Amino acid sequence: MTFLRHKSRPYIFALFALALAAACLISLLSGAAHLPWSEIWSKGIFWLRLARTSIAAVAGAGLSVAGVVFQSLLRNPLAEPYVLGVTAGAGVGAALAIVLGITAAGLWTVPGMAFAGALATIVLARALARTPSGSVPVETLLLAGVTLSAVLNSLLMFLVSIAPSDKLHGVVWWLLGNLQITDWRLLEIAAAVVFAGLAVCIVFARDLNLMALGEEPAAHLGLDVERSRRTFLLVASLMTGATVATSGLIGFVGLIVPHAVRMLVGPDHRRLVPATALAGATFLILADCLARTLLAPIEIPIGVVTALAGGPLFLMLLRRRKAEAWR
Amino acid sequence: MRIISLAPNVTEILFALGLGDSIVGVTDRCNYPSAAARIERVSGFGTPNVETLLSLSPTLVVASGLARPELADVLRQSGARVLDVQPSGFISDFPAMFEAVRQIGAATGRGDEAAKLIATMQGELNAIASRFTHLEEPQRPRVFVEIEDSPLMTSGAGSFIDDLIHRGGGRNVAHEIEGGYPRIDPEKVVAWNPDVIIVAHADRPGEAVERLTKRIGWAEIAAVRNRRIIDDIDADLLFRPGPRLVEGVKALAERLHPSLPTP
Amino acid sequence: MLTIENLQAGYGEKLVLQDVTFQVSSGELLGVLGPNGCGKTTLLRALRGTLLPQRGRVRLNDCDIHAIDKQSLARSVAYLPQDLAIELDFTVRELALMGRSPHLSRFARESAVDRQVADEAMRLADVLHLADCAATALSGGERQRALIAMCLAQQPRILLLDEPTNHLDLGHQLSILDLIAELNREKHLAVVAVFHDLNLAAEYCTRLVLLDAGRIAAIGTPQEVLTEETIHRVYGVRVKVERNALSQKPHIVLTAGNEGRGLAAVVLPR
Repeated sequence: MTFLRHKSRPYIFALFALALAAACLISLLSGAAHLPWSEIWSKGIFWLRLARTSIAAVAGAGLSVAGVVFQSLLRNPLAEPYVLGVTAGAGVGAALAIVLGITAAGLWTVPGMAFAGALATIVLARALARTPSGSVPVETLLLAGVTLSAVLNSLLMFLVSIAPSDKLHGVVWWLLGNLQITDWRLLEIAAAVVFAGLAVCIVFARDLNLMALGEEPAAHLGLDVERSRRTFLLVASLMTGATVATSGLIGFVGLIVPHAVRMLVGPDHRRLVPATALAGATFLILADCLARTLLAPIEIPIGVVTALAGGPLFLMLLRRRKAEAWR
Repeated sequence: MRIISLAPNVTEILFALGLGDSIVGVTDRCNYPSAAARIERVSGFGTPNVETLLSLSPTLVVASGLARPELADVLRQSGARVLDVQPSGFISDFPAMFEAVRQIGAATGRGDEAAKLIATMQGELNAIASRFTHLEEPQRPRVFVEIEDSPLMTSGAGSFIDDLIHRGGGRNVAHEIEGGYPRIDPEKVVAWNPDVIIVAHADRPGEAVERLTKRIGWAEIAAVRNRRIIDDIDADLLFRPGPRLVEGVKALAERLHPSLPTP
Repeated sequence: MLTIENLQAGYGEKLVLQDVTFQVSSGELLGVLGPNGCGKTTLLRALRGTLLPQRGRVRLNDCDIHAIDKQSLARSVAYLPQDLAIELDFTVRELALMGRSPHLSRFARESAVDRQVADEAMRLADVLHLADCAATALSGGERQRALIAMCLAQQPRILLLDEPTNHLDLGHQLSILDLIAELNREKHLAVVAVFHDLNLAAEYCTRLVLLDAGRIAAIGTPQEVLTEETIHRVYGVRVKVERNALSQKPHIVLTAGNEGRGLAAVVLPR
């Protein structure tokens, strides 16, 4: 499985970049409109597809890299924004902005509220899971995250139930994930946040390796654990928030993509982070192609497609880990 | 008679049949006629509360698609009659709407009034239709109805909106899609290239033009290019299958064919 | 090299260590002993500077350990925690290279020198042949060696080990301890190791610290510390201390069935 593990980094990145390029091409060539290429171009459908492909790439990369960061920090391959409730937290923030009609920060309002919700959730989960001696056991944190996720999802449902009927449609659909994009500026905001987060993760990839050993071992190797933890939680929450704000709740991408990529290139974050970003973008672009074309021109919610692919894999992972525990 | 209406279009039909004084409960979306606003609200989003319904001791409850059929049983046990004019959930065309009016008339002993109302509406529809008898199919503008954006939702074949567009002298581009209210890929709209777009969810009249123009890839759609975007007809005239739907058809017909003489 | 003065440390309200004073000199192999919960791991964490003392201090070459910058401290002191679980399947080489972190500046990548040091560390720990194996796929003994290789790649002057032979079978216990003793002798690495097994500690350590309820109960050579009286006082059991005929080190002999009280001491409860 780890056949790429000992290949050189340029080789691996070239391979993943090639896959992404292919996915982009497929995405640009497929859609609900069956027209000759010249018309796709002249009618402006090309720009629509390009925007959609871009937002799928940005969201896929953001969620996957956030997953990698959470998995390293919590030292658990099952950790990811959706499972930890970070997505739901971002959802509550964004839904509050939509339902209450808050527009204080203009175009930044919904992403900002989503980010605040994401960060608050992970901080709260950590606070809940912290033992008196100050350690944060991973199992407890996961449990706290799952519980918070349930509570926050209920809160989301509550917000939906009190939403004015003219806002209802958008909120419900947004809960299922929505990659329809109408405004370039929103795409620019999301892309800026995700690229910035990605850059931080690539520059500090070695620190992610150390954090994956555990906080104390990382400290023993000279890492400023407190600062690293803060930086990475902030970065992962930002990326999750930006993604949720533009595309709604898309589950399991942060789980399956890092896991699959880790199987291919190994756990060294200097390879893993860039490879995961490329693969996450590829995955979500292809999933969106399915969502757009399977029942075209009717769309399937993107969250449904990723969950149908991710759910079974998540269960398989759980089973494998259980089997390992008995080995 | 003590009547509870569980849908805005039902409320309008009841008033049109002269039963306004008998209504004891309405939904929070029942905004027409203005007298409806003074009646107690029994439901908002979701299923109405049974206790609230029973506390009004209704003799007749009229719904248009009950979310929970067992609610009807509870109401019947308490002695109320329950009429669901559209058990399938949505009214598919004008004949189905007339049938709803007829059923409500029969249930309230206003059969004659109902027949008269239907005849009037049918007459007006015929008058509008007579304007379009010489209209060739290509002369009907191709219309796209945007029920919701983000994600985009329209109405396909088998919805009363599809029927309404046709009677208004247009062609629904989404007619090729079967089944109610599908969510669709925006590029499909670009490919359809409709002549007219009806926006159902505008915050204020005139606002949609700018919004649709800015939308990625939409600037080249004929309706956007020619600014034939309709967002100023009262949405309740177009999207509420009640007695005023005929007014909606009339308003739409005038907008789609401004040059044709009014009968 | 390491000076511990009047150390008092604990977790919040809970006081674990009190009045602990001793020194670790270069080239010595110091064993830390004591009953469960007496503060052995806490002492090690205080020595590493992970735990801030409530009173007293720990000095490394006359410098307060908390005043030393994190990276340079990691270049001097390496720490192998008890039962460190590796969750991700890093290879042995990747782990050894992580040991080079304290020597790398923020944006640097490992140089040829770093690779050489990591290889040497793996060779010393006898895991060079496993360099490309995932640590998760190794046996307990192999994994412990891989982690020792990571510590050695730090090129520390002091190595802190928390029960390095925990959960290992006899063969692996001896091979790990032989390795540590060899590093101590030949590389002049100061080692402070927590032991559970008194006989293994007696056999390998040059000096022992025996803790009892957070205080030092005895300190000195194995002969000085491991006496029948001291063991009875600290562990509450009666044992016989003999002399290992081969190594001349003290050797504790136990008998089963009387909780070590000795036959004469058995008093049945009424």
